[in-house]
Amino acid sequence: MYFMRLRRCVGAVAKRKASNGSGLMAENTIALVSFVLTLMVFSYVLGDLPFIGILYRVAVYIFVGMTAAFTLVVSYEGVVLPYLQDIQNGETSWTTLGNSADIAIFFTALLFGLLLLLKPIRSLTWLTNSVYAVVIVVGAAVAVVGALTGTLFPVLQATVALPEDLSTDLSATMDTLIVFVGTMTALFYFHYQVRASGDRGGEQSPLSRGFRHIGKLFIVTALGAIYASAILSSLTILTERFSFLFRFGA
Amino acid sequence: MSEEFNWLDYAEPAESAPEPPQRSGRRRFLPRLPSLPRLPRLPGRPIMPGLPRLPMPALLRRRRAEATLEQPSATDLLGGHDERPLDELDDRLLSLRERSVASAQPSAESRQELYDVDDVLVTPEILEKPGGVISAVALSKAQQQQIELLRDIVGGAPQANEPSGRRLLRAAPLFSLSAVPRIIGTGIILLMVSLPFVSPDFAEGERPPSDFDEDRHGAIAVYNLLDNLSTADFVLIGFEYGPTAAGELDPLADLLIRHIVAQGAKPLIVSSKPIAIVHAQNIIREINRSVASAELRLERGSDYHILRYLPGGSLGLRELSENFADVVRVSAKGELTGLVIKSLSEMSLIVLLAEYAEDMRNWAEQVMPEADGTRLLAATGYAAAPIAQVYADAMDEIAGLLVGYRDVYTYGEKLAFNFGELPQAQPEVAPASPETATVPPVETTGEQAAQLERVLSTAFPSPTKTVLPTATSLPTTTPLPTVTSPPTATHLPTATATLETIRIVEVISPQQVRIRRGPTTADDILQLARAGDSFEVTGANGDESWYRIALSNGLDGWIAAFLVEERMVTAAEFRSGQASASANLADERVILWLESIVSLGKTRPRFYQSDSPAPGDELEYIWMRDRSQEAPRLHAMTFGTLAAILLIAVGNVFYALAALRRRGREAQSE
Repeated sequence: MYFMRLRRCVGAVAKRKASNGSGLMAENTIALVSFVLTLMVFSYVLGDLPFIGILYRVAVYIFVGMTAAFTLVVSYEGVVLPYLQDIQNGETSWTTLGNSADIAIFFTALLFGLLLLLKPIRSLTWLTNSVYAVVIVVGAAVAVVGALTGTLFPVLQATVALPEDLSTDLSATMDTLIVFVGTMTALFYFHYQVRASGDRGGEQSPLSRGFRHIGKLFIVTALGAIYASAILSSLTILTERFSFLFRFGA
Repeated sequence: MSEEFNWLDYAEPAESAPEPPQRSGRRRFLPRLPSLPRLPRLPGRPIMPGLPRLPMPALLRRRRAEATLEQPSATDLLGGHDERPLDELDDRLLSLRERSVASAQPSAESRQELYDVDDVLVTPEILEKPGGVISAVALSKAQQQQIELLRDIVGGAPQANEPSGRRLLRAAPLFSLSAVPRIIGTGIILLMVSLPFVSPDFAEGERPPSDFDEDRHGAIAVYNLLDNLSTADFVLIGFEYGPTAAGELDPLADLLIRHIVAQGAKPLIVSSKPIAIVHAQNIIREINRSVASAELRLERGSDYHILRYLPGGSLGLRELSENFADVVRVSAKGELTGLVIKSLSEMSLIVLLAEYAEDMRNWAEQVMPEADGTRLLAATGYAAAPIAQVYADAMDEIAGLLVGYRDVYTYGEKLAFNFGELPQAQPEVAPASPETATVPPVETTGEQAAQLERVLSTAFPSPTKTVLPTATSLPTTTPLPTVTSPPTATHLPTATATLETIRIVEVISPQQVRIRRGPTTADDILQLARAGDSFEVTGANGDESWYRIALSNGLDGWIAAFLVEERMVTAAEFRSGQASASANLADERVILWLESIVSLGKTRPRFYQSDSPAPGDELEYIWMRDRSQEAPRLHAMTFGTLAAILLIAVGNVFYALAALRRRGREAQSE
């Protein structure tokens, strides 16, 4: 069998066959819709004007509506449906669900979901808000722990990490030095403590002001780099749209 | 508003039972549900009936108590503080102060416009009429339009016989002159970006190199780690982008998925964004549409898996890292995947496709601390790159980073070079029937023939002796360009006749070597070369540590002298040697291909099959992509960047001139 494959591949091969009629028509329809939607989004260049502005809004509303619909479908299929299927198949029942922790998690999630449905009833809004509070508090706790272990500690280590041989690895040493100076002076930029008394009361020390200025330079440079990167991203996406439009036109 | 709020005399509201809120609008038609018992009120918690008088903050309570004891209050402290002298203010604050003073003093023009302001602001007599208060006030037409607009915004009752939306549209101007600069700027960018697609003459800007430079450790690591995958490996792909970043990240996703699958590994796609799940399915569908053979198409469940959606953003990612076995159990369609993977550490690699820096941060914070040694490769767009680069540098678990479309090009070049293209079939060879199974013979060297026999006997334990087809499609040798040597280069003779002796170099390094644009390692990489590749020398630098060589695409490149061996041959020998090398290279690629079948073919070989093969058609692999649009897009990005820089510069000059003109007028007025 493998030899047959080998012979077919090396000996002679075929180009891709032309798509059948229905497939081609569907492809053209999708391309046409994409083309029209692209032009509708581009109409925003003219501003949020009467009639013309509606084109942009319709395109955006279509995107938002479809995103919401897909979110609903994906959430149902990927999250809710597996539980229901397990129960239906007998894999998750009162006796086979596993341990009491699983059962508790399942019913807690179910209860929370039902409580969210009470949001329109004004007198019961506090129940919905309680669910929100739990989710937000847990989310904040997870975010704090993650920020400590995933961001603060590694970035701090990288800020103060020096190369093993300072004399030979001059480039890495300079990098570390620049990162260190940038971090410290940027922190000074958000430092608002002033002298409490004396002739210069209410003012910062000249050293502190100098660090603030340097920190401001680092921050401005960083924001400029991010802005330039955003422009490059936009250009990349724009070129993809042009590539699509010209291919479609051809 | 002019009356100052006297907080010392502010009477706090007395705590009383709140009145039930009055229902308004459509709610008043809904049946009132029986009210449930409210939560017990915390001691000291003030009750606010609607939005009337608010209780005084504790700080002001203390201040008021202090004020009654004839101590200075906060207002006294602030009021007694002298303004800083003008000479102590920096330029920015001085400028702001001058502007505020100037705006506070109405100019002569504005006074002229408001000459009858007293007449307008006279309080009109309000009469009780059926139309309400507004209809009783004599307002100008413009004022009426503004009130109608305001009423639309705050949801006031529309007037009869006229829908509010139409009124709003009529009130808005049809065209604003303020939009002209935006339209011109956008038009310039669109025009510049479209030029490379219109005509190939607008091919400005250099293409990215064919290989990642030495300082791109992260990008090289991405390629090498993916290239070392095997059929037993699972790769977790964090697919964290949707249609909004498709133009930028789709090529990266396409490339990485093809590379993973070509190695025989299985990608497991997961996402905390529901729309990204749908988009990942589209990417796989596009890959399947781009290949002709059903054998090459990826099948969900066997070649790849799209796992269930992770709701909750960072919470979902936390669940992924801590409850991985449950996540991989179910697919995005709600079906059982059949995968039994206990933890994240069983993944060979994690590949993250991130649209925003926040995605990178979430994965670095929530997933990687639990990855237990599994390394992450990230691919982002340009917008997320500044933050992603920080994580890639700071965290040892993040092994590599690809950024933007330039890396797509370089990665694609490197992939195509390393995988190579299989030799073309002979046009006259007709497809043999499966029964006879005869293949045109090939002339190979003794060593290669032995290697082929060994590989084939391993792959196909059949008594039928098999031989490989001839690799006949050899690259056409193009005439070499005339040398235009730089000032530092040593002039060498140009090959103009086949009998003439020429100077060539042959690559002797066992590793791939880089051919660069200039005689330094800082210069861009033009292409790669393997051991045995030979090039005609067209020059050298001063100390002959670098040779300038003629490439087959007509360009000149530079190669380090210690990587090559130099010798003199005739032009005829050189060309025949190149042809022989190409043939040998083609045979080597066939051997590599067969070896890949040996390793991959037991499960699913990634090669082309056709039900009706035709002579002269090209072979097709899963890693082969349509790259026809890459060059125009890169040139369009160059033009777009130039247009953006131009617009920013012109805009800055314009605003600088406007500022100078304003200062001049202010100086004249003073």
